Amino acid sequence: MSAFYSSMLTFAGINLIAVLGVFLLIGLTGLFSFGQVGFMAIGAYVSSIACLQWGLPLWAGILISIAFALIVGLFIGAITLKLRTDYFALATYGFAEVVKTALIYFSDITGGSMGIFGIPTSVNLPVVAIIAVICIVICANFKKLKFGRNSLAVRNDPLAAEIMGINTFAHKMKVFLLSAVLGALSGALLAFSTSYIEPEMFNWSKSVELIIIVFFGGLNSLSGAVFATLFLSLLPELLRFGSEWRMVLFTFIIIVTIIFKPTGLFGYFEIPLNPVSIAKKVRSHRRMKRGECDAG
Amino acid sequence: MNAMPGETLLAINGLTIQFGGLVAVNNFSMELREGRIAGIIGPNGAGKTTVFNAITGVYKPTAGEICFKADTISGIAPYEITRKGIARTFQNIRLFKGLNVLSNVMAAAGFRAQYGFFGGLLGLPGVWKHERNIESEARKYLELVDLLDCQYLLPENLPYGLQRKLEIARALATKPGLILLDEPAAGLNPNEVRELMELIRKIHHELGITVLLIEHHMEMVMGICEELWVLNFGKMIAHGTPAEIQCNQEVLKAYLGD
Repeated sequence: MSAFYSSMLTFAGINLIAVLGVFLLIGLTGLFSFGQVGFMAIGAYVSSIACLQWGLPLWAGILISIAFALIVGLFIGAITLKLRTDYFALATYGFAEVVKTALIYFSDITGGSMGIFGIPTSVNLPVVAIIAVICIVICANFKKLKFGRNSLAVRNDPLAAEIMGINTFAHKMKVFLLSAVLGALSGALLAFSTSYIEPEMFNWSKSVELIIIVFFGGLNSLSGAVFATLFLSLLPELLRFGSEWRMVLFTFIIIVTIIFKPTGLFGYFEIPLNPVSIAKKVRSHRRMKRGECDAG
Repeated sequence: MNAMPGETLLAINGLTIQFGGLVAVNNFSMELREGRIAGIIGPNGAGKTTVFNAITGVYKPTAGEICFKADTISGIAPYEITRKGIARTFQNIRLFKGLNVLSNVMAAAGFRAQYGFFGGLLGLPGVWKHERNIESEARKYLELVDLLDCQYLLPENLPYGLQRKLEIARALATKPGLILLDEPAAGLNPNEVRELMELIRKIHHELGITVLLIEHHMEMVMGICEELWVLNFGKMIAHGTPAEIQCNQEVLKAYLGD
């Protein structure tokens, strides 16, 4: 594989990890956050600083950045998760801006608007691919189990959810933290595959890009989110679009999606990936054809 | 009428709920014994649903106390009250759209599924066993309300009568000791009302759940309730058996005017 394709896929994979966090938070739980890019910035900067300035190995840097994102997430979540959705969106937008401003202000540690140079590019495509697959499995489990049902219940009718025994605040906090971890992980991988980070990379438009991808794929479909990430990350590169046209293309796509298929490209559809379930489906289909009673 | 009057399950003492200057419920007290089917009736705007909202923790009482079994439940969060064993349905149906019928019921059983966040995300083997358990339990409740054939449909696509039944199945999935039904017969045709009465009796007899309902449908109230409280303008004006209530002058005045 040429270096061009390999780096393209690496970035798509890194993007995917951040998108998964947005998918859980905005797609399934209906918590409209603009804060994902703030957690990406935390992941990128804390892991880089830990490795370059404190001399820690890469994996330790990533773990420290995730722990840091969790602490920040706990604090931000505690003060914002009881807000109404529109105020929540504004508050998380504010959070991302504060992170960016702090990165510029504390220039002794962060390099200010110059950013951080010379980060070892120790993350390559296989590493990203493996981590991305693990994250997809985690999100698939989330959606399949009671957490996914709780999310949709909270999104649909928070009062009824509470009356059905769901601790809605605790659930929202869990999703918010999981999404923060995915954001930080994605940011850390980004830093260690580009060798250079600066505050401008973590603009609010990055959050918007992630949100557009989730809407395009479908708020209820994990498969949709994965497909949309790969499609929308790879397409502009393949068409040799300049980055200045990227946002225009994305905006156009989201308008077309909302008008013609408001539930997103995939709607509720999920691609069955579990080999056991595929085999089961095939077997039950055969049994049905033979006219036998299907218990499964 | 009731062969086995049990212990007090729900006790409300001097409940008052005020919204600004409006007193929605004024010094309301009641004591509901275990194993009853009882009802709260009264004209529109009498404060019946407000009493339900207070019991389930949606509103905090301005004054007064609500006890369930041995615990004071006024002031704790709605989800905690549900976990203690009080379930309810809503006057305006509030099913979870986007979750299919089976998942709606499973969502209400979720807090009883014994697996943690990390175990779940990692998909540890034990998790799927617990998941299958609540799934088969949910099917059991769907069978009880005769909705098993619709388990993979979305609730918003069901006819109104079936949505009401699904709400009852969902409430049952929290395994309550007491179920509060808020106008379960509203919008049902006579046939469906008869089915509903049958279902409420089944819930009472087979599952041993105490039932408290709000209802305007008098045939149903008089047919299945053993004990009634009558509210008017937030105040209790009568309490007794359906026969006593039917010939109570205060009640007739409240419903028909002077």
